[in-house]
Amino acid sequence: MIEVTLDFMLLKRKMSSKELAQRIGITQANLSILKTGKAHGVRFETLNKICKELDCQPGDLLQYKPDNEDDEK
Amino acid sequence: MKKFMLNLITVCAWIYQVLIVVDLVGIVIFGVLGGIAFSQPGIKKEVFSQFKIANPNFGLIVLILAIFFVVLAITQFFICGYVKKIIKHIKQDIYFDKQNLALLKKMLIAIGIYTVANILMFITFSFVKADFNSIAKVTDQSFIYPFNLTSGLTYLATFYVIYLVFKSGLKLQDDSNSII
Repeated sequence: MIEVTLDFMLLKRKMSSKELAQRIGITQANLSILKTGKAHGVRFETLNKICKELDCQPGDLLQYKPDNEDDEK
Repeated sequence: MKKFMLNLITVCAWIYQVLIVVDLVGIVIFGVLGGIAFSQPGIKKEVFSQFKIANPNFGLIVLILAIFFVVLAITQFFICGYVKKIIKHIKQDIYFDKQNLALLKKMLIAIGIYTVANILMFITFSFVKADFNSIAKVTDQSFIYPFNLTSGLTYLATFYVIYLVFKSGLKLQDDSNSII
């Protein structure tokens, strides 16, 4: 599964979710959905804006973690 | 259930279209024969006298009503055709497509024409209502055509199809909303 590590980057850059949401032009609710991993996907445009504001790479925000079933295999 | 309903609507639409064609052929044939008969002054006078028709323009008004009836029938024929096409697309899981949008637009136009023709027909009928009542009394026949029943069925089929399309659209919207 793809894990979103946005919280970690927000802490690193000392920015609040509210501030980031306002800067990239999405609602706080949608940003929360993204942070908690409930989103089904993220647009390149949104990813681009987040990386620009947090001065980071997409890899700093998204991490791949094998599912539990794969681990057992 | 959905497949059964769609097939049922398709079959009803086919049957209704056949009935419309039969009706239209009948109207044309009887219209022509009636017109020829009514053009004879003797026959016209006899008919007016027998059925106690007071309005001297009865023949002309009935002709206008017949034209409106034809317009109503033709629009319903087309609406049935459009409903069948949309159902065909839905069976192929094609919901939000330009073709469906075009068909819905055509349906709206047909329903608009149907509504206007219905209103005009109602207004025109009011001029000869008394004469039709007189004919009904003499012949013991009712001139109430079950337009409401047939148009109700048409609208039911149409809105069911639209409901299915919106239902699919809602799923797509939810999917789209979950992509940030």
